[in-house]
Amino acid sequence: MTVPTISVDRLSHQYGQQIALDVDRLVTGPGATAVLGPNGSGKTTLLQLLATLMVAQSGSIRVDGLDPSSPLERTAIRRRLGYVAQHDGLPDRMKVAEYCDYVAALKEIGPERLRRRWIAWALDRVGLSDVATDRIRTLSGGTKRRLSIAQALLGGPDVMILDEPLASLDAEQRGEITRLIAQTASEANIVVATHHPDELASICGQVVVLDHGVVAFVGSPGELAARAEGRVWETAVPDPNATCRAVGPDRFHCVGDFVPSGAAKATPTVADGYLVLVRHR
Amino acid sequence: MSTIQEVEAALGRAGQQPRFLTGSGSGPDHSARMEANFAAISAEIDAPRQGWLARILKRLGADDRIVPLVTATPALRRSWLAAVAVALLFALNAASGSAAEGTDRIVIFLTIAPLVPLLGVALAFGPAVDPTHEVAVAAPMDGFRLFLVRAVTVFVASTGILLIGSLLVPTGGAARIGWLLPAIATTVVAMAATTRVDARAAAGAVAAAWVVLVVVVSQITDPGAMFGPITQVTSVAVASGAIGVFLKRRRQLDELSVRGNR
Repeated sequence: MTVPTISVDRLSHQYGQQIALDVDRLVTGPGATAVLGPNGSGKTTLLQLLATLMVAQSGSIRVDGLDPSSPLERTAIRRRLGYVAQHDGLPDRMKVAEYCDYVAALKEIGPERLRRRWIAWALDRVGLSDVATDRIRTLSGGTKRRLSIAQALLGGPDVMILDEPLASLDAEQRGEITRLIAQTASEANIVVATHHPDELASICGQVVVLDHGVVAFVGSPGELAARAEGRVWETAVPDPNATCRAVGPDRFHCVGDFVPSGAAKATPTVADGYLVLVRHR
Repeated sequence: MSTIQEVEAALGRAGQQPRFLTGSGSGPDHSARMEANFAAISAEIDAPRQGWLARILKRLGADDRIVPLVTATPALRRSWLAAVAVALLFALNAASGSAAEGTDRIVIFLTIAPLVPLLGVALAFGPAVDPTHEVAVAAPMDGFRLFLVRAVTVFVASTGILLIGSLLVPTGGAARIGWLLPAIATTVVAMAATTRVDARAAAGAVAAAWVVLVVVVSQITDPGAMFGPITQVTSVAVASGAIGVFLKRRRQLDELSVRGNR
């Protein structure tokens, strides 16, 4: 099976007078692409356009050559698509398996026996088999997030658009979902928006940074991390002029304009490169 | 679309590595675990306490891909409750009055009753009332089909209850169900309008127009005449025209969804 590519060309979208997105050229896949950016940078708009929830006001998107502005081709894209929305949007009164059955029916998966197979498989993949009979309203925020990912996996899509799949998850759950995305990336084109660059972007083949709707960076995680080369250090006392996070008892990992004299230089991470990039724009 | 054989293979029954399943989920006991999960999930989907509506639909021969859409219709419970409340309220009210008062109350009942399925349908579709709206839009099932399934579900549920309620009204004879054709007409007109504007706005406008029409006609002639043969024939004509418009513009439901208008 060939993993499809997504290509974006001179894509522009605005809400009222405000330009939400203005992307000149972007190609994703095969594999995973992480989309980073501050809140309001256009990540969700880009993902909603790729997921065919909206039609671009100008420019073009092609998913394996298919044009989402054409109704027939849009349906063809949706048959290959798994989508996780930024907000879970789950019907609280339904049970987990019942909800998955509903989404599987929306995905035109049938007959019923086949839907059940997919449901069992998807819930197993995200570790929710034991709550299949629970009502959604009784689930924790993290479990609901995993259910959203499970519904996206139904039908085995080869294009996956995931809007902050790690939101509301604890560290262990983030690790599990990151592993799942890494495994899935070998057989699908995954575009994933995240605020966890070090956990998720580092396992992606490509990283895109959006800032005020425009692409500020496209490259590998290593290339983004390299942007912070010579600007990262570790210290016992956080520097007020830098962005520091605790990495151990009396140890802080700092990113700033330059390494203070006497400080121990550290190896930059993807998150460090992202911070440097956004801070200097 | 995948075949059963492909999924069987993907799930490991055919002795192959499941698709996407190369890590923690693919241990030696994986197939056994999957079988247990499958059995539990099948039991849940078949659970008698939850599946009564699904079972009835299956016995009636409904397509098994439609059944989950019907049972998950978000407005079903609300419209059902509204229909029950309205039907019983007016039936009991009419039953409690004198013959003359009963006639007035039947007119009120006949005026209000068509609004129940109309408003129920308006609450069956759109981001404001459906938490799964985004997932539904991103799915391949086209908006027209989903809207139709939900609208028919809500309409059948609410009119069924209203019909039972109508039979509780002690006076009026066959006129007690004079609301049925106007209900079909107003609901279909609102559905046709939904191809152009938001479902709730469409239903609100149609409901207001219906009430104004009844009030105006009641000022001119006998209120009971509003539900006579002329209105019934007109309702059929209006419903037919609206069905034509709805079918002709059905693609617009999907187009409006992706253009962010609902």
